[in-house]
Amino acid sequence: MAIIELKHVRKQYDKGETIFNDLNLSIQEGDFTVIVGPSGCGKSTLLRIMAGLEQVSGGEIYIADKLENDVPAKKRNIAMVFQNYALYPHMTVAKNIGFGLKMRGAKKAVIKEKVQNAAEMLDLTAYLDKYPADLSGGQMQRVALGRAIVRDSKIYLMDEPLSNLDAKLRATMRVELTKLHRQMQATTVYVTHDQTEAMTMADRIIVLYEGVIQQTGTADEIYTHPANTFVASFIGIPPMNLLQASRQDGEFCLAGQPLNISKVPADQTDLIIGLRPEDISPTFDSPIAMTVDVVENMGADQYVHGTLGAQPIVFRDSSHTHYHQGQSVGLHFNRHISNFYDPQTTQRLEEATWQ
Amino acid sequence: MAIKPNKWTLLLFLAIPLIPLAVFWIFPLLVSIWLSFTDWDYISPTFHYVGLNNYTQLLSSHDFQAAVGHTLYYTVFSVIPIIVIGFLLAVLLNRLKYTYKFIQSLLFAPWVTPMIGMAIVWSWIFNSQIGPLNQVLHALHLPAPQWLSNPQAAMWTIIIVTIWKNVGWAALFYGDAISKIPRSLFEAADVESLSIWQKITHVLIPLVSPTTLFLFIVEILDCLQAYDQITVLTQGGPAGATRTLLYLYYELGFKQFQMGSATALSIVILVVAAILSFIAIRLSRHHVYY
Ligand SMILES: Nc1ncnc2c1ncn2[C@@H]1O[C@H](COP(=O)(O)OP(=O)(O)OP(=O)(O)O)[C@@H](O)[C@H]1O
Ligand SMILES: [Mg+2]
Repeated sequence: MAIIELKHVRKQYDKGETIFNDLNLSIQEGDFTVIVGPSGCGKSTLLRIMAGLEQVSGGEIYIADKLENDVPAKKRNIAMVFQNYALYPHMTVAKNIGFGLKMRGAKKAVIKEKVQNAAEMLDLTAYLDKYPADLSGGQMQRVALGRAIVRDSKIYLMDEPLSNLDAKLRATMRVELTKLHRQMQATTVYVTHDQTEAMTMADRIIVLYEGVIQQTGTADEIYTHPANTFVASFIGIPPMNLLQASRQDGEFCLAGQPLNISKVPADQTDLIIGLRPEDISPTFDSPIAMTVDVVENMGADQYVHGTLGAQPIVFRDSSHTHYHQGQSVGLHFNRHISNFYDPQTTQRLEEATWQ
Repeated sequence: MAIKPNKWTLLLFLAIPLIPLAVFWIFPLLVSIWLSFTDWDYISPTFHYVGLNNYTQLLSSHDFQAAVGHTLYYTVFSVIPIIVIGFLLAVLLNRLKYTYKFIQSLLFAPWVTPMIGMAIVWSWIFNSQIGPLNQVLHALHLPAPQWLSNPQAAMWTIIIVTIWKNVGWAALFYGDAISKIPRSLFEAADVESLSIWQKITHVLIPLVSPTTLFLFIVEILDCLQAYDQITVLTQGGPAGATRTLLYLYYELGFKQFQMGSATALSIVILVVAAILSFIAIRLSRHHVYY
């Protein structure tokens, strides 16, 4: 069941540009939905619209099937982690976390226990008596997160709650938040520009770019079949290879070699082939060969960057082979997954497949 | 690259701005302290040293003790309403975005208009026969006191005029402080479903506490120095009911020409002001968030 639904939402800031023109989305009850997109694409605005902190210029917002356009934030009972933390500077960490509970008349013992539990999970126990001014950015961010998770809310909105943590802490917090979500089963909308967070935590991912939803789906769906070249290049590290191929004598060719792609619309003269780095492997007997430029050693495997004709290309290799600059390497394409894009519309050509 | 100034250059640059301070403040202060140990009468060229006599006489005099009481009463009942009303005004005005500039200048007007002129207008308003205030009160069948000739009411006319003069100024300071609080703190309070009252008491008031402290000190000092409204409206009367410490100082010095006692009193006022400021700053360490 959809617990949050946005229908034809338009948002324009006072005499500013239009952020959303006709945005439609629905968030399923109990899901951990991640909204991912580059900086400035409207993620925070979207979250604030759901929280009731921002009025829409058009369209409808339904929460639990009730039209809530005019319901103010304080009547929505939604917990939120603010991107800029919004901690009260005159309260200690413990007071900040427990403040909402106290205002809603919770018992002292209950507040204390909840704050204690949250602090343990967030590794903040040592800082409970400090003031925000004495905390690092990452610590403040965890306090902001703590303030949301002590609440008993049906919906949790989190605006980049881990963006300021170091890599190790971020990895632990990802697991903690996933566990917490599994425990509470509360609907969570989580905003990030970090695709690792999106891929690892989400039941459902919404990719947002320039105020337009590019794709909605599970991590798997989005990773294996990006709906357009933006999603293809945004999700995945390093991003999907996007190789231009054009028709020669009716066949799509790359580096002069025919590729055997079928079901391409007849009027398509060019197309873009999408290939994940792990779907390309080195081989001795391929007429398609790249020139190695840089090798990134990731430990378990390595990313070999280079050029194919004039186009950049990268593949993943886990064989510990030694590559050197200028070396020519034959390439083999894994043809199990078909991703082809129209260079004009940038959209995926749904029918086209490898033969 | 920084040039390291030598000690004397530094001293020189420090000393120059200190000259006016020395001429207009430190020097007169020293002269006052010295005068307070004499019986100079403001006119004659001769005087005698009387030691602490001025102080002992002053502190034990009935006039002085009464003036302390009046000053206290006047200060408490002026400063508290100024701060409370100023704060409430600022909260209300904060919601009016567009007319704000106009209202700001309106609020500032009483503070910059000379008090003498305004006090004359007020003395007409409070006039018990022809004043508009009592005419309104009569029309409403409310008690209309003899504002300026009844001792109790006279003090309140002074208080009302002082509040009227200072409240807009306080509201401006609060308005500025409120506008500097990040909006997201109130949004966080909204998300936590706080009521308006909870937002004011738990978020707004603590966050403007530096302004509250500042206003407390400034307004107390302003009350200690109140003179214009007293001299125009009541001249310390009736029967000394509005004679504050400063007004007593004026009477001692420039009506009774007891310059020694007057300067002794001025030193007492100075010490009281200094102690009050010190206490306020001390308290602030525990209750003010910066
Ligand atoms: N109060 C505002 N008034 C006018 N324009 C705004 C306002 N807030 C945001 N914008 C604009 O709306 C667009 C989207 O902003 P938003 O904060 O939603 O982006 P975001 O996706 O959260 O970015 P980031 O990842 O950097 O936080 C931006 O172009 C921004 O300039
Ligand atoms: Mg944002």
